[in-house]
Amino acid sequence: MAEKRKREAPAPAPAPAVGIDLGTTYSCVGVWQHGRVEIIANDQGNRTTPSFVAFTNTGRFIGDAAKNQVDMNPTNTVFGAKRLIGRKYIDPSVQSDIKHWPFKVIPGLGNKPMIVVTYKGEEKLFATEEISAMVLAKMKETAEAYLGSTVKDAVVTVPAYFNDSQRQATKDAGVIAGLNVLRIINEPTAASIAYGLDTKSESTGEKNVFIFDLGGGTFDVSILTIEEGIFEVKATAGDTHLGGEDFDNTMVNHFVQEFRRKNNMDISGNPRALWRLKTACERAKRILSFSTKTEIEIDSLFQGIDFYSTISRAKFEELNKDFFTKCMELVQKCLNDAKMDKSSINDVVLVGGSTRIPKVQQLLQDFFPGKDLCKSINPDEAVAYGAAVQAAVLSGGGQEKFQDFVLVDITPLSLSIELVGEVASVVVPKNTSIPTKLGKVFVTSKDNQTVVRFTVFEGESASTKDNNLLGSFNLSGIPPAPKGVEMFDVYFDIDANGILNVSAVHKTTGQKNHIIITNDRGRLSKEEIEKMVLAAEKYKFEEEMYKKKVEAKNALEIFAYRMKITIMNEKITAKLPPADKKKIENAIELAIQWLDGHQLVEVDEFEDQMEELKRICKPIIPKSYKGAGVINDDALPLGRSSSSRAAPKIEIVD
Amino acid sequence: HLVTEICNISDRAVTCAHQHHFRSTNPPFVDWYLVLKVDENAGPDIIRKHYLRLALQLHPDKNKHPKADTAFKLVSEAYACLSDDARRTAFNLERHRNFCFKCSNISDDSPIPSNTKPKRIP
Repeated sequence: MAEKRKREAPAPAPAPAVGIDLGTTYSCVGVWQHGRVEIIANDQGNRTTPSFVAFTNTGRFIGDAAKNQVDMNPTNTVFGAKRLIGRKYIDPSVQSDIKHWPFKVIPGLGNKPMIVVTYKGEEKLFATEEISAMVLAKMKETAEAYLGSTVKDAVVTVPAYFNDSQRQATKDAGVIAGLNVLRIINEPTAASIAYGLDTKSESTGEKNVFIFDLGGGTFDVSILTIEEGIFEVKATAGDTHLGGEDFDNTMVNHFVQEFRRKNNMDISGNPRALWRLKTACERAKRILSFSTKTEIEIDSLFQGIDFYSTISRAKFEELNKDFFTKCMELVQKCLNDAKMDKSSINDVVLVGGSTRIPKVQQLLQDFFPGKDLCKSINPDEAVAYGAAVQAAVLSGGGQEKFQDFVLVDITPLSLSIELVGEVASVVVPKNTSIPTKLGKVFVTSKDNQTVVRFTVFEGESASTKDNNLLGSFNLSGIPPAPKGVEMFDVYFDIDANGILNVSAVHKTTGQKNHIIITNDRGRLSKEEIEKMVLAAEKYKFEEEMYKKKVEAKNALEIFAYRMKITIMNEKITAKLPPADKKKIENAIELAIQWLDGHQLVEVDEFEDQMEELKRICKPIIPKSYKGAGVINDDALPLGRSSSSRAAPKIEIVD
Repeated sequence: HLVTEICNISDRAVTCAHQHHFRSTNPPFVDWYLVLKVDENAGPDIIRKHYLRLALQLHPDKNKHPKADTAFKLVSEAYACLSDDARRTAFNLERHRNFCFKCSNISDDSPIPSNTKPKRIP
C-alpha cells in the first residue's frame, strides 16, 4: 500500500500540514500559508462543511451534497458520528442519541456501535471511525483542491473532555482517511491559539483567557494563561453532549406536541417529517439570534397537513433554560478547578456558532461583569485556525513566526492505579502539563503475594468502576512477605503526543514491567483499520468513476444539444447539402434519445457515442469548439446551470 | 547545552562522604531550585518567569534534542512543586534534611517523604 501511495503522490514538494476541526455538525479546514492562516472553502464555496455522509442507490455523498438531500433520504444519511466515536453501544448517551436519529445504529462486535445504511441497494455496516474518516477525507480533498498537491499531515481537534478511547478512535479515523495525524489537540486550546496569535501584538504580561465554546454538539470551557508566547491550559470542563442540536431538539419536541394538540396526530415516528421540522427549527433558532420572533412554515408536514406556527425568542430561551443553566454551572466549575476567581479572567472568548445566541451572551456578560466578550475571531473558524497554526509549528513551517510560540498541553483526565476494593489512586492529576513523568509508591495487599497486577484507569471518580479502563500488566517473581512490605515504584510517563507509558519497579529485586497504553478495548485492530483503509479507497474509486460517468454523460448531452442549436442556424447550414443536414439531424436526435434511455452506463459507451456524433457533425462543428465538455463563457448550451459557471455540476440522481 | 545541563542536575549523584543514612532505592533527591535556576527565597513571579522561559526553550515540539523531553518533565515537576505553597514548604524541609553542613552539599540519600504514604494494590 505504501508503494501505491508513493505512485499516487504527484508533487515532489510536500503539501503543508493542515488543521482540521472535525465537528459534530460542521467541519472546517485551515492551512498556514504565506505567513497567515487560510480557511479553505469547499467545492460549494462554503468555509465549513456539514459532517454528513449520505448513501444512495447511485453513490456516496459527503458534506453539503449529503446534507441537502437529507429529507429525501433520512435513513441513509449519517450525521453526528462524533457523538458515537470511541463509545460503547450501551453507553446511556449513545442510547439517548439513537432515539433522535433517523438512521439505524446497532451493537457490533465488542459492543461497538455500528451504523446501518443501504448503499447501492445493499445493506452495509459502518464503524463510526469509517464515517468520521469520510468527513476527514472530504476535508483533505478540499485542502488538496486548494493547495494543488496531496495532503498527508494534519492536526485534528477533539473536545477537551474526550477520553483516551475517543481520541484514539479519532486518530484511527484519520488513518482510514489516509492522513498522518501529527497531533490530536483540544478544541478550546486550538481556539485560544487563534486568539493568542490574533492579539499577540498588543498583549503584555500574563493574560488569563476564558474560552467558552458552544458548538453544534459539544460544549467546552477552558481557562488558559497566555504569557510570552506560552499557552498553558489551566483547566477544562464541559459536556460532550450539549450544543446547538440540543436546542433544535427541544424546539422539535415543542412543535411535535403542538402538532399533536392541533391535529391529534403524532409525527414522532416519521423520520422525514421530523427532519423537515428540525431543519425549520434550526433556521428559526438562527433567526431568533437577531430577531425576537419568527415563524415556522412547513407545507404538507404530515399526511398532507401544513404546519404553521410562531416562536418568540423568550419561548426559545424558556425551552432551553436548563441547558443554559448547565452551561453557566460548568463555567463556575472550570473556575473552581483552576482555583481562580472570575475577577482574574482578562478576556472571555466566544467560540462555536451557538455563542451567537443572545441569551448565552447575556448570561456570560452578567457572570463576568465589566469584561468585554471577545468575538473578533469568526466563532465557526477559530478552532480550525488554531489547528492550522499548530500543524505548521509541528511540521516546522513558518519557523520564524513561531519562534516564541509553544503549546503546553495538559492531561484532560486524572490517571490512576486501582487499589483493593476498586479504589482509584491518582498518580497524574488532571490538568497536569505534558510531557510529564510522575511516580508513586505502592505496596502489596496480601500476605505472600508473588504477583502484583497494576491496572490503569482514567477519570475523576474515586471508584474505578466509574472510570475508563486503559490497560493493565503484571509484575511477578516477588519474594513472599507479609502484606504491605514489598514496595513498588510506579511511574506514569506521558510524552508530548499524549502517549502514556506506565512502568513499575519492585524496589528490592529491581524486577520491572511496563505497558504502553494504546487502549485496545473497543478500539479497531490494525487489521480492521487496514481493511477500512482499503474500503475507503474503494469507495473513493467508485465515487471517481461515478463522477467520470456523470462528466462523460454531461459532455455528450451538452455536445448534442449544442449541435442541435447549431444545425438550426441557417448561416452555418446554408452550404450544407440537404441530405447531410438530414443525416446530422438524425444523428443528434438518436443521441438524445439514446441519452434518455441510458442513465449511467460505462464511460466508454458515452465516449463512443460522442466520437460517433462528432464524426457525423464534423462539417458543422465551429472552429472555436475545442472539445467536448468545455463550456465557453459566451454560449452555455443548456442555460440550466447559469448560477455556477464552473465545472458541470453533478446532480444527485435519486 | 541547556538540555544536558538540566538533565545532569538529576543524573548527577551528589557525592558526600559524611552522610550515610540507610542505602535506599528511592529516586535521587533533585533540587528543584537548581533546575529552575532560582534562589530559595525567590518569589512566585520569578519562579513562574523562569519556568516559562525554560518551558519555551525545552518543549519537545520546539527543541529537537533527544533529551528535551526529559528536561521538560524535570522543569514542569520543579514548577509544579515550587508553585504550590504547601508542597514548597515540604520540599524546603526535605531539602534541608538532605543538606550536608560539612561539605555544603545536598545528598541524594533521601528517606521516604513522610507525606507520601505507600498505597496498597490488589
